Amino acid sequence: MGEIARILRTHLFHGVAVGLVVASLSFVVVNLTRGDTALEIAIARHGTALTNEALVEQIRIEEKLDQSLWIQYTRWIGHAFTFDLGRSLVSKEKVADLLWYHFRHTLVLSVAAMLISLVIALPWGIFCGIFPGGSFDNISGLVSSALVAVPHFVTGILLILALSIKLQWLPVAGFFTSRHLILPAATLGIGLAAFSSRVVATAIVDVRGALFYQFARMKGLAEARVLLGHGIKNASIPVITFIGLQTAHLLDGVVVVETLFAWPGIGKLILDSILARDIPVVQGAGLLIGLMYVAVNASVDLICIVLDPCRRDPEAIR
Amino acid sequence: MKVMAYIPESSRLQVATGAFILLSVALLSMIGPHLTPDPSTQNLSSVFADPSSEYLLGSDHLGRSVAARLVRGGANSLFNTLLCVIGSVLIGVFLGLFSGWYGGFIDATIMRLVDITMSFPGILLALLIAGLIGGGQIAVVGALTITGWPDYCRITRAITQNVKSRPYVEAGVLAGFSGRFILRKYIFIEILPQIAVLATLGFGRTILNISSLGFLGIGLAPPEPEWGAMIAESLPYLRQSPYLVLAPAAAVSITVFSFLLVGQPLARALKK
Repeated sequence: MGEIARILRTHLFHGVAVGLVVASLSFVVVNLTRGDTALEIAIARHGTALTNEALVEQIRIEEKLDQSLWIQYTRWIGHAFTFDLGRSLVSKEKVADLLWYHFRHTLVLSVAAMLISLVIALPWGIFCGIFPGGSFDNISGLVSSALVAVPHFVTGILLILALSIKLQWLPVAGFFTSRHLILPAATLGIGLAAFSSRVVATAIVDVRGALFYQFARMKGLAEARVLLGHGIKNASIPVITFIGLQTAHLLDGVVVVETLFAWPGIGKLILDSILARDIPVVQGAGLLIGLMYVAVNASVDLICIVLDPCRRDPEAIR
Repeated sequence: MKVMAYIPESSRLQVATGAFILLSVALLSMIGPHLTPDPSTQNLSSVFADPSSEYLLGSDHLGRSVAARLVRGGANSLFNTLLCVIGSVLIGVFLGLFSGWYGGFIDATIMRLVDITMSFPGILLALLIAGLIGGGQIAVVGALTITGWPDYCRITRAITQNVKSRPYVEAGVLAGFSGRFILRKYIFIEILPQIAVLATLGFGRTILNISSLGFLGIGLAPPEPEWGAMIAESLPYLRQSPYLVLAPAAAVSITVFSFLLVGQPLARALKK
């Protein structure tokens, strides 16, 4: 039990830290470096032509930007911790509603990308792991390095060129049908598969070298039987840990891929609101992405404890 | 070549190839801008020109020389990446040495800082900082330095803690050597190769991040060229002249790939 409590405590700390950093950072940076926030909101809402001084003053009072910075900051933090995310400065929609709408799209995209990556990476990695050091394994290593080196937006553009423009199979961008999902999900999935196939391969090599595995082989069990019965479960621990790290990679790629394919997810939302200086939305989206990351890491740690009895109580083993 | 001795026979060709490409990219970016026309001069009467003696690699939608923008963009990306990596390494090694050597409260504080920085996924933190500041060289370099240091800090701390408990270091302390002398002569030399390898891989990652930020529109102020921004600018013309997008895309990918070619065998060799 002690181990689980420790994990939850660590991740709770991360969650709170992420919240504080997002809230403070956006506030401090905006107030230190930007010009008149009220003026910018006015321009964002009404356009440059219609903006005049009276309008700016009206917005300043409406959004309580005339109060001292310290008061604004405490209100800011207080709201962030009570999950009162406020309203968008530009569209005046509730931030929570915006987040929910965009979050669903990101969730669909991420799950699809994860599935695609596993479908590619598992067979690829397992095959490389069974024949390590062979020519297929060596070439796979180079191919996955090459895939890692290609930025997500380039993979996406190459897919658009091949599948949408040359072959005209799939739509270029948008989010109306499931056909629109294929290209962005494949873009993210291929990038992930490049990483995770190597992790799967290493995990399989390690497991096949372990004493219990050798023993099972020596007592006459067939390779396939040992691999399925003992190998996969034991190899899954590093792989699952890695999926947690992958989520970081995924959330990273999500901003770029959603922008490229005009997919209305959380990544596109955060970029658009950063460019429009819509601070409540930036805060909300930053908080959500940060918390998603922390939550995934926490669940990965917990799943590993379930799979690996050794980690439940490290003291007992010694 | 002393360095080559550490690399296993089977990956020497790979490292040499990577190093050769990197040298060529660096040379092109350093010499190229002096040989090509100004990368920002527009010529609206010759947009989307085919390669010719005037436009070595053709021209873009504003009639600017693609060759000139490519080499200048490379110079910008490489220089900014260098700044980021140097900054991250300095901060990381300095804090890591402190943390590992003194332990206690200092260690706990620095490690919490590392935790917080690392609890953000990927470039999100950099995007928040650089984007909210409004882009520009200082914003991008600063943001990527702030997000880049924890890796170096953690490895430095781990090595320092490990070396600190060895008998010859204890002997040094007993002999009355100053803390700074021991850090420099005993510990720093252990850290150096690890950091060098980590920085090689970090270089590649930083180029990727800089070009991602450039692609998202948070980078150097236009018209200053940058690989990621060039891709975003030419994206609307993907259908008629895909080449305008593919050239900078190839430049980013090849450069990052070469860093991996060099870095990965070195990292494997160090682990053994």
